Amino acid sequence: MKHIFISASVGAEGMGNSNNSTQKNLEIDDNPLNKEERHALEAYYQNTFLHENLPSKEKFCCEFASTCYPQFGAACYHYITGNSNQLSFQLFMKFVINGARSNSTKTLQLVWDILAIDQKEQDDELEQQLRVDSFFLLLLELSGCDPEGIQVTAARLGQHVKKMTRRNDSNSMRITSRDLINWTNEYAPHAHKVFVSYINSKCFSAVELIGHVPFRSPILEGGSSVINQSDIVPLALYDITLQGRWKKLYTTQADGLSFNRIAHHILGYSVCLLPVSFDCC
Amino acid sequence: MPHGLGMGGSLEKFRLFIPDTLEDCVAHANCLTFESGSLLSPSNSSSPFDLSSPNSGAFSIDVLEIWGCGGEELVNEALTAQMKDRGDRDEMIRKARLVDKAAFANNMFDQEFLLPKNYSHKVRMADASCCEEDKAAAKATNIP
Repeated sequence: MKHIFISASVGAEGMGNSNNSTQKNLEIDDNPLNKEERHALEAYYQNTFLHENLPSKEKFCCEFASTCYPQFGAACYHYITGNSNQLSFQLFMKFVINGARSNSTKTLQLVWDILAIDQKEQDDELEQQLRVDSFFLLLLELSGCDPEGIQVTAARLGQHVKKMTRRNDSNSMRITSRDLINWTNEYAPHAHKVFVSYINSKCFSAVELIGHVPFRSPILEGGSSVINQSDIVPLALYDITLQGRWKKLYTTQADGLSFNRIAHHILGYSVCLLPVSFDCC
Repeated sequence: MPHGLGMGGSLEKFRLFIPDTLEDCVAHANCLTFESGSLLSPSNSSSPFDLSSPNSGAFSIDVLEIWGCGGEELVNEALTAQMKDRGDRDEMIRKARLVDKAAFANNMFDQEFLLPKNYSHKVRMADASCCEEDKAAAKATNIP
């Protein structure tokens, strides 16, 4: 049996409030986009979504396609356009601002509401659990994670949310957006940056963004026989120092199973280490 | 002090301890350093991600990987620091292996017992001068 453990701590438990939000708040007071960003967004909108000078739903769905959550493009379009079902630059800009130029809570709430578009009943417990699972599937895919292991990791994260938000007063497994946001604040404070980086990479690729630290998916340099990228993305969501390049310092297969070799390869390395063990006993 | 690699907890009870023999490694579910939680999957669970109950226990290593992280800049800095540390240690070992022969030049004991062949002429000269002194002393006191 595999025993896989990672020597990294996680934060304290979060508290959940039952606060179903049905908002599709696209109202903004001030436009946080500067002149350069706005021009870039206009150019992107015109080049990407307009077909014969008319906005195309098909092009939009194609641009925001997702492998793990195939309905994502259509759900986004429906969320933005509402009952009018007609995309406009103003609506799209508001979507971008709420997704990529707001605080973490608004960004995550936006994603939750988009996922709710595809669900029939927001209050249904099963639908909410599916929405949580879909959230993590989307999160892992947009973080640049390899497809291998996404399903398992998403299920694991969903289980953790359910465990942490289990209510003492009932056997209900109802999870609200507030529960999910509280969970991300405690265990994945960089989760919203995945969505922000996703939108920035699409809409502002030609612009130098000042003050925006993108999410960098962790990369196992040289590969691993024990873990895959989807195993460590949750860690990168917790701590920014776990993003980016991971350098393999020691492996039994290349360096031998000996404490002398372990010591040789880790002594003198002045930053954090992360041992991962695979036990077949 | 135990010999091995320990993390968290205390010297008496590490949260995770890998001894230098790499056998009988131990992982606990609780410590005062990190938040509680299982580092091992339950042996009776089919899922490696069953978080239903904290689990402590012994395990043995089949494959071990150790990764350095911290971002591109920090990783490069740490690798540079490691190279320097290895260089320093190698230099220290090299110096320890070198014999300073000049130090023997002033030490009669080392010359006679550690490098007898190199300094045998000096020993003979010392013996010869002792004999000459004995002869001179004997003549002075009229000892035949």
